[in-house]
Amino acid sequence: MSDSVDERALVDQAKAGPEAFGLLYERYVDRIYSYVYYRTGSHHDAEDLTAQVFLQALRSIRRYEHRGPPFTSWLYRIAHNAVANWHRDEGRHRMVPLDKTAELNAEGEDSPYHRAADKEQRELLLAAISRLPAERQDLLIFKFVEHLPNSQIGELLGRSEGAIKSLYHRTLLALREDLDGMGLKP
Amino acid sequence: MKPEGEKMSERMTHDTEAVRRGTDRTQQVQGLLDLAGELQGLLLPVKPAAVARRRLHDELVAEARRRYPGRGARLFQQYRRMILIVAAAIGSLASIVGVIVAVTQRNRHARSTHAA
Repeated sequence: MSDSVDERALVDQAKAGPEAFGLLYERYVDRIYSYVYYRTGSHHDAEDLTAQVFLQALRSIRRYEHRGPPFTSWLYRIAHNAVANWHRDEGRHRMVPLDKTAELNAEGEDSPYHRAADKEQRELLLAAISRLPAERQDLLIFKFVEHLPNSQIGELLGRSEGAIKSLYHRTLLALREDLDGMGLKP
Repeated sequence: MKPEGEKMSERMTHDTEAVRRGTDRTQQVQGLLDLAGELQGLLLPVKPAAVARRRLHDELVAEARRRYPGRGARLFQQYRRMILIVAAAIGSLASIVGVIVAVTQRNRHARSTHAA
């Protein structure tokens, strides 16, 4: 509650003051960057698109009105459109994205052999995720990276909370099937 | 009517099938839970490089300064309606005072002319 009140006050200040907009950026940049990064697969493109998202937010913030959903929903929507345009304009769709994540996340395993095997498995999983339809990729990112509740994911994807649960189940099944097809077992 | 042995055999086949379906279902659910666990470990938040983050912050604040009006203009926009009402009231008051002064002057002038 107090977070949403703080957020509301900060957004109102950001409509009039450059410094407050800077604070808004500091608060949300990591979340937007994560989302964009997992949808584009490169830090370079994620930096460019994150900049575009916040510039667009700066241009439009005076028209923003509090209508219930958190401010992040508005930002995610701008980010979603920026990513969609990026894929459409460039005709790019990376099959094996995410430059360094697999290596970074594999740190701490026992041996070089396990690290290599684990890395390969993670890369296959990331590749399988990138083959999912955009909406299902969004769902997984919102759920696992951003830890959004189903209600907010539903609001973002234009579906009911129940539909999100069902879509999540179908997404896991599709992913499992894809991985089984590649001979990858959990 | 089927013999008792045959009925028992059918029941056992049916029960075995139900157990097999239940086991398949449990394995499928376990597989999905394992997959969700893998996703949880794989899809971790990432952050932009500190330099890029700082650069974008500075660019945004500079752009915001260009776009946002100065303090004077902001105050004017904020109180624009009130300022216009007050200005209109002062204008109206000035005209009324002007008319009163003019009438007073004319009367005074007329009186002094009449006395002379």
